[in-house]
Amino acid sequence: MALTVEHITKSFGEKIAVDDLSFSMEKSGVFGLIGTNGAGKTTTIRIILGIMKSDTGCASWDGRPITRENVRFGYMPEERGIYMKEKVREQLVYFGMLHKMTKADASASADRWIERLGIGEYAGFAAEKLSKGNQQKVQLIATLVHNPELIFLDEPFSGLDPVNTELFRAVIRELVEDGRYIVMSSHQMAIVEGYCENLLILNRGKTILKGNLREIKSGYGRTRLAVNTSPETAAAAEALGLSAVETRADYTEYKISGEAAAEAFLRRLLESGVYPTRYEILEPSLHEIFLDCVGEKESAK
Amino acid sequence: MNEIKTVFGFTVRSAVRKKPFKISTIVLLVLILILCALPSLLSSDTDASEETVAEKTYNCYYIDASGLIPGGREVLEALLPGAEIVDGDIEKLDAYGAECDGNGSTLVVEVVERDGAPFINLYQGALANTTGVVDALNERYVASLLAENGVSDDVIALTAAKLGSAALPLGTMRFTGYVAGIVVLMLMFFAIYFYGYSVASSVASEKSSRVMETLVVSAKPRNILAGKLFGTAFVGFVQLAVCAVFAVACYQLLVPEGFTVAGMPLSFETFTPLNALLILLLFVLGFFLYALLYSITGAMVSRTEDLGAAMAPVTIINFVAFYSAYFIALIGGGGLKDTFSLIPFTAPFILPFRLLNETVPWHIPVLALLLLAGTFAAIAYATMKIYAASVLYYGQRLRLRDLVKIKL
Repeated sequence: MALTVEHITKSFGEKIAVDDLSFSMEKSGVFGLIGTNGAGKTTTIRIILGIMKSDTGCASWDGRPITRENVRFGYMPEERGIYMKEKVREQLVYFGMLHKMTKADASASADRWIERLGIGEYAGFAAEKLSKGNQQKVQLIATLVHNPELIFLDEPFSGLDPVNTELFRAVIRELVEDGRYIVMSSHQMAIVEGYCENLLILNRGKTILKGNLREIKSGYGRTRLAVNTSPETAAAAEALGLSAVETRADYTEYKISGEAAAEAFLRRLLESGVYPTRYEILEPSLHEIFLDCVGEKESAK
Repeated sequence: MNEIKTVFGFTVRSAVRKKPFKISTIVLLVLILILCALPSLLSSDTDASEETVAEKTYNCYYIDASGLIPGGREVLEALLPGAEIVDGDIEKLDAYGAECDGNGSTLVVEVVERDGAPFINLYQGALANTTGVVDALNERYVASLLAENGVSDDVIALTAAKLGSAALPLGTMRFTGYVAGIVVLMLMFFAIYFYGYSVASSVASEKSSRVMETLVVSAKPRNILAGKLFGTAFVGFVQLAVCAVFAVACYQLLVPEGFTVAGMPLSFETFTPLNALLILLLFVLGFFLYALLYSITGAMVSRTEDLGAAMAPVTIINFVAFYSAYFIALIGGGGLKDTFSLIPFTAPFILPFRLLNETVPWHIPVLALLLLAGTFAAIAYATMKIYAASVLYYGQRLRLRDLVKIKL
């Protein structure tokens, strides 16, 4: 199984929403689609799903066009789309049946997911009576009720509290372990970083970075140094001209040019008789890479 | 087909649970009950008034100082059982006026001489009943003249006797058919407006709530729309069928046998099986034609607040078709009625009325149905394309020129 997207371009009038976008997913897991608002993520997903036609290019699943007939796919839109006046369980069964499930199968699947996501007590309620977080769970179930093999999650964590975020993360992990292919767009870089082996960063419709996250990070080099926060370490950093990127109560991160700079810093601390309780050379975070990529493009404009 | 069936079932379940459906059904049934009970209520009211002695509720002042109409006062006593007949005085007219301001019913009948004959002045309050007063006094005056000239009482009685008469139908138009035609016309209008609005509003709310995004990845847009249309139509037709069955039952049970309106008996002879079938076909095709157009309006907007403006063109067509048919029903319409009977947008309104009230040449309903079916098929094809292309369009409301650009 493989998801392949080749040279997709889509314009709305003068505006190019997606410009020659290509990527592929060769194995199950989570693929990150990262970008600012209006970068073209949702348009890309809609084109892949065939609910919007591209001007050029195509998407395929195992070499065949992505259609409802060829692949079971699920889509969780960014703006939640459930019937507010309808009862939770009834609409989930309805969505399952629309995906060609029998009523019995759709009911069983809906019940299983309702139980898994902990909203059993609201199954007979109209969706409008649920909290935003619980409505989001209903939306996730609507995406998964028919047991899709290819799943698109558009900003699945937005608006979730930490407990529900953890629940969603656990569900996504289970789906990955179960061999599902997930394309996820998100602004929350820390979450994407925790899941995605591969990703693509979009800015104004253009692909500005794509590939394996580990390789991308390696390419950037280890440019961060985390050292425990103390007056002595701060003085040593100042003496070497290192600038603090982030200062926390327990440690401070410094931007370094390379590992040699980190070694020089450590040597200076030791020579001064200061023994750091934390000393770690770090790769840049996805957040930094994203800002770096998008910032470069924006400043180029 | 399964997708259509699934959407159909969901639409039906959802529609029958909604308050507007429940309320409108109850209101229609109550209206039918009242309409059918009305003849019985009216006739029992009339019987009661005949049996009881009328209460005197107002004064009728009779002034005939010269005695020009002998027995005039007795005539009024017999004619106006609710009035106290009092010998009046024209000098007290102001006082009678003041009394009338209090009840509105006071009546003053003054007989004066003009050109050698009695002349009657009727001074009446806004609510006074003067029906038959002049005729009755005139009759008494003529009778007194005949008696003075030696005519026998038998002959005088014969001159006063009313001639017998009966109202008989002429042509094919019947009161019942006329009323039924108007009722079908109104039902068509309200069914199209009410259920058309329901379709448009359902599409618009699915779009604005973004349910559409969940739906279109689950099923083909054309199947979603078809299921929605069939579901909404089914609910509408079932509601009308329930009302029709209830109306027939109420008619059988409540309308008195031999009940007439303006002397004409109620007759359903124009409701032949063929006419009923033609009316049903026109109703169904007309309903779906407009429902398709309304569904496009729902797909054109991103917010339900914009729906009214988007629906306006279709609503105008609906209004124009309804009023054209209504005026043709009222005034005939001449050659226009054949033209309007063939136009697909007006045929479902005017043809049912004509079928129930006149002998329509056979080629008119056949041609009208063919044109209606053809137009329905063309609009259905275009609607499915436009719907699929516009349901995921968000932003400014799509305009007609935008729709034209959509590749069909």
